[in-house]
Amino acid sequence: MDLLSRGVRNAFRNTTRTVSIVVILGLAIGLALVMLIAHRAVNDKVKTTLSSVGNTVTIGPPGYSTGSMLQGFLTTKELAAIKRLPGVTGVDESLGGYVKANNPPPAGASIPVGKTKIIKGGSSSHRSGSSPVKTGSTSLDYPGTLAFATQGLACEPKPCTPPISYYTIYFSGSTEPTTPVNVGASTLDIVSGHPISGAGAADDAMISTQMAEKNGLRVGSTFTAFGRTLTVAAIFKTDTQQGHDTVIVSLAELQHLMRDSGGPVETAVVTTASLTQLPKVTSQIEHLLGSRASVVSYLADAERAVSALDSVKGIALDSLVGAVGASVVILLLVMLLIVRERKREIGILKAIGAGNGRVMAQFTTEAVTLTLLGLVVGVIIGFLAASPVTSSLVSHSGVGSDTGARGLFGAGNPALTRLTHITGQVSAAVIVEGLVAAVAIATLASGAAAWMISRIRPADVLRSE
Amino acid sequence: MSVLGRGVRNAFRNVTRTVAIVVILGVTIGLSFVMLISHKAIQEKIDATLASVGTAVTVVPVGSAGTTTPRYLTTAELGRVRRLPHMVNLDEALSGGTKVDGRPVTVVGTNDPTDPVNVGASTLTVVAGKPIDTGGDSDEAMVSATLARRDDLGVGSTFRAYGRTFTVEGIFDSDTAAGNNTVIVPLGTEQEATHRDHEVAHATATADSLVHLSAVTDEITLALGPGADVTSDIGQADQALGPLDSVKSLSLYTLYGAAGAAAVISFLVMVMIVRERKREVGILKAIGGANRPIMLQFMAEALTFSGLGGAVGLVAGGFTAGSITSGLVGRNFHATASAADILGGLAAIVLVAGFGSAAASYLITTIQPAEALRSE
Repeated sequence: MDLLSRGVRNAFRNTTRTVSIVVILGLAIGLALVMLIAHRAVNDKVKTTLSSVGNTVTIGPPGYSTGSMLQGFLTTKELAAIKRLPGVTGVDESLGGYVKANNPPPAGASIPVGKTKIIKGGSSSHRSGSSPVKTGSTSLDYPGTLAFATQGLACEPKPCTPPISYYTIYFSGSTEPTTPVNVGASTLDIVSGHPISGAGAADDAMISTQMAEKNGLRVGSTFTAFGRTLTVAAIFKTDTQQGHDTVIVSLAELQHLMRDSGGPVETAVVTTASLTQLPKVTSQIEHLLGSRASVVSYLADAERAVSALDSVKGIALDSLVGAVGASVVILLLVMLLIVRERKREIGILKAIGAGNGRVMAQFTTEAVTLTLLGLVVGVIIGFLAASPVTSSLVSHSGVGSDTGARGLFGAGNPALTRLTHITGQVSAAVIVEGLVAAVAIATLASGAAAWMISRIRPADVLRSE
Repeated sequence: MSVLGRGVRNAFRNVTRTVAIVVILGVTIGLSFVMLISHKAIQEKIDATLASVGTAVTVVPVGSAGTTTPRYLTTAELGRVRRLPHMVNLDEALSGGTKVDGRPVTVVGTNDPTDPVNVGASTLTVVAGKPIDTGGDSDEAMVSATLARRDDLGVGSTFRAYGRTFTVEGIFDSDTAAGNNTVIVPLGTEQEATHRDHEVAHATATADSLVHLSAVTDEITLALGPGADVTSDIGQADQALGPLDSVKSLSLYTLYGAAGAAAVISFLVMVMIVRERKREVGILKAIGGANRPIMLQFMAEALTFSGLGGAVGLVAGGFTAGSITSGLVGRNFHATASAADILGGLAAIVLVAGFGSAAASYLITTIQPAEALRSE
């Protein structure tokens, strides 16, 4: 009988034994495979997190954030170099302006009544300095109420309604017109029309739903501001009063409307590719702009988050190494057990003249057969078990759009989506990597088993215990 | 010889076999244990991440943007915010300007003197002395290192501003020119000095986790009504939450996977132990051994292996977990793996061993002496 085929047939001589060994090996290999996939997924997710939260640097004129502007505005020219810094993925430059609303405040509110006394700005030097903010007028009516317009203004004796001479409508000019931070809000969703482009100086504007309602405007309607006619390109919904009162145009358009040829920029928000690059980018910007700008980012927060996420990555790696190590040990020992229980058989074979080579070849064949079966089972187990792993990837893949509906699978066959995601998130290279590792382990284990066999002495085995 | 004694001694009848089985069991048990600990560690780290980045909510009075007139919120209004759930900090600030030694400086009154946001900087480090106590309206101040050098001030020195005499309690350094031209005083002091009792120009609330950012933002908006503009980076938070949730669930799945694999492997090893001794069982039954004592013998053997495997697993797991937890700053093993975890692990081991032995016993009862004794 052929030696190799005997080895292969020996692997199947008993169902319980074959099944047990194949399942043990399969589980060990499958677990290692799952850990490999999970490790990749964790690294991927950590990377996404690092590129999506807290990775912004705010640049403004010195002192702007404490309300005391020490110098004039920055300019588009000064900020141009920032876009070319390594690790910078976006620069949102913005400028604010304000105009007198078409409708005046109710009579009475504009005239000091009785003992009401206006308290001036006091010692606070809010927005002093060479601010280029210029006022103009508009055909738009103020969408808020008198209470909103006078909120927080100081007057005495309290309580009182501070007098104001006109309602203010804000203009925001920015290179990224859909960013909510430019209108002082947390959210900004376009409800009709198309968002305007941040580049160029077209006479297009975006207005809030409140502004549109108050002024009876729709997409395509026109209004005037700063003496020019603007067209409503989109209507947005936002969550703060300041957002409701703001008209959004492109940065160049607002610079043009305010007739400022210097290209002033009030603030710029720089986004970095990853939280890990935040300190470097922050210091590079500081270096680039020197004392001309106040450069602020949440460095301490970033440091804490990066170190926490680094430990997560480290733990995922440790778990992977642990699982692979455990698989290797289990494979080796199972092979050892297979050989050991057949000690007597080997002794007899050797006693009747079988050479080490023949015996080793037979057992290596058996071990490799079992390992290959284990591998098949392992890959199947691995993919089945990886399914919840990848399904979590599926349910979170479109994170931007799935808030509120998290946990719900999208339309279509979830199994198919999952499969595409296994290959999407975990490349074919990873799977091949895992298979190569499993084969390497199998060879190693067979080798160890063969080595054990070569050491068996017939006389030791055949003596009664 | 007692059946149980024989079972236990059988577990040690061959060194290779004993070591191999104990190590297989130990490795699988240890792996589950390590997975349990790394799962806990990952959850903790994710929570730490969620608590440390992007959790700021900015509160300013409506209409304060773009105009030359300053507007204020009141301490009373903000008091409502302070009591909201999931809030860890509320930094209220009021800034003004005055002259120190004849030169203009920005004065920031705050109840969180080490928050760099107040001075318009990314970092704020106290380099000498200590942060001021912001409880009342004391004349304590923190000055920047730049101002301290310029005006020759040290900790304990005094200077005059707003017609009052301030004592330098701490000297700080920040990373912006504006930040380094700032004096930090208690909020109450600034309010009193600028005659803005109970007024606040700017507040930064911190949510306890990115998970609660959206809810906290909404609650603050609700608590302050239309008088305040409340903003936070909700869009960013949404983007970051998804991946971090995935990482959490991934770590849970791998824990389940490892524990499941460990249970199945232990179980199958038990089955193999019994199977290789089919002949022995056949002979025992052929010479009149009843099922019960044989089962007891094998259960004793299986439990001995499990016990040893469990011990090896806990020790190996403990060591490996030690290396995992040592990566976590300021954290020791016992803090991460609570006694409850260890007890839970032990209970699981006993359970798996029980199952394994039971299955082994079942196999024994099905062995027919005639079948076991025939030559293969």
